[in-house]
Amino acid sequence: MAELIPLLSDLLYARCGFTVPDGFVESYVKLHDQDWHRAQDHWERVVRWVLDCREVESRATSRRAMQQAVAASGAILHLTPLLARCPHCRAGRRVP
Amino acid sequence: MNAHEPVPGGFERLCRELLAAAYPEADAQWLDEHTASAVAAADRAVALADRHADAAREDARAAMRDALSGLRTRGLSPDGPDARIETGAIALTASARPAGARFTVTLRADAADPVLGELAGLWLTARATGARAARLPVRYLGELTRQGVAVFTGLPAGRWTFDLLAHSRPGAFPMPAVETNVVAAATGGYAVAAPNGVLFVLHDPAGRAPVLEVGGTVDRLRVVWIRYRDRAGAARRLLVPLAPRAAGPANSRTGLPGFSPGLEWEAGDLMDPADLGAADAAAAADSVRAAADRRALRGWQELARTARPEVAAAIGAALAGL
Repeated sequence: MAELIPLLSDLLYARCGFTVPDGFVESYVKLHDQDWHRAQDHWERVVRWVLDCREVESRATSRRAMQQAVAASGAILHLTPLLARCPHCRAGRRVP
Repeated sequence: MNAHEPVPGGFERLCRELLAAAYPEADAQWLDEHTASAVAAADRAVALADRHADAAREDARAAMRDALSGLRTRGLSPDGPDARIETGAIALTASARPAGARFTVTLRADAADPVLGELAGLWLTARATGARAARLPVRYLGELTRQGVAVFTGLPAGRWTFDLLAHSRPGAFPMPAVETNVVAAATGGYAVAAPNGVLFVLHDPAGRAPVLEVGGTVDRLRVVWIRYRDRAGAARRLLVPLAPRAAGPANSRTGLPGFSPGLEWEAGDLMDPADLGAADAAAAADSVRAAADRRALRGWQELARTARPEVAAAIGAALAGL
């Protein structure tokens, strides 16, 4: 499934086929000190978790599931206090 | 939650655990409040994504229908086997190549990714019309891949036209509704060829007792399922056995109790009877009772001997009641 998770850089384009909050990609990458590779890694982990949630799985085909998961992940990471702290970095060795 | 080993669950649990991982110093009340707002944000985001995706899919379908209409006007036949139609959103290329006495037609839709992505998994039908076409107007099914390509094999000569089917579901061949208008009734015949080579012919589709004939080449006993909604709106599922013959393709006939000709229906791929389980027992018994020719009955008799016990018992009881 990981290969279908869109790149953060693709989400910068309005016609990418996914919906995320305005400014999400920029702030998420900034949270990771502009380390796009690390941000992408952490982004994919969250999307995979969201894909495991029943709210997505129960009523979606695979493409639709990914569209839902990307939208939900963007909202969870940008419209909550997670905007300021990455749970993966916090759980690891550093606090943003 | 260990941030590296997620536990599947709903948004509520996921949001709570992500917030707790990021803010281990937070108290329970803070977690409750922010979890609730995070779940609400996620729910709204999913609903928004659904609306955008629905709109994008409908736009893509409309663009594809426009392109197919343009292709119909332009024409595609053995005498003009290549065509390119450009609409605002899609460039549709069609090419037909002979394959023995028949033709393989490839449609390729070029479009930007959101449109192309929404086209993936949609099904089309192809049919040949005109004086050179076969008498039985068979429609050939083809599915658009993620690359926007649909291939139709075994098409007879004629003027080829294509239509987009309204419904599609993973793991099933969508079957077009029976056309019930005057022109369709006059031309008669309903036949659909699935990509796996199985042919579905509906006899007397608008009559009181429509019969479905399923035919194809099989090397051992196989089963095909069909699903439709009857006139009362109830879902019906029947199984059709296909046993190999010494010569020629296998075929079996089944009645379609309550079949409503104006509705789309669907069929499955060839199944190994060993995959039938207890959940199929009721459908198997209904199907035995709906069998409409000796070949179908012989197939059920063989299945009564070879299927799993729970299915074989249901088949045996239904055969005994005939």
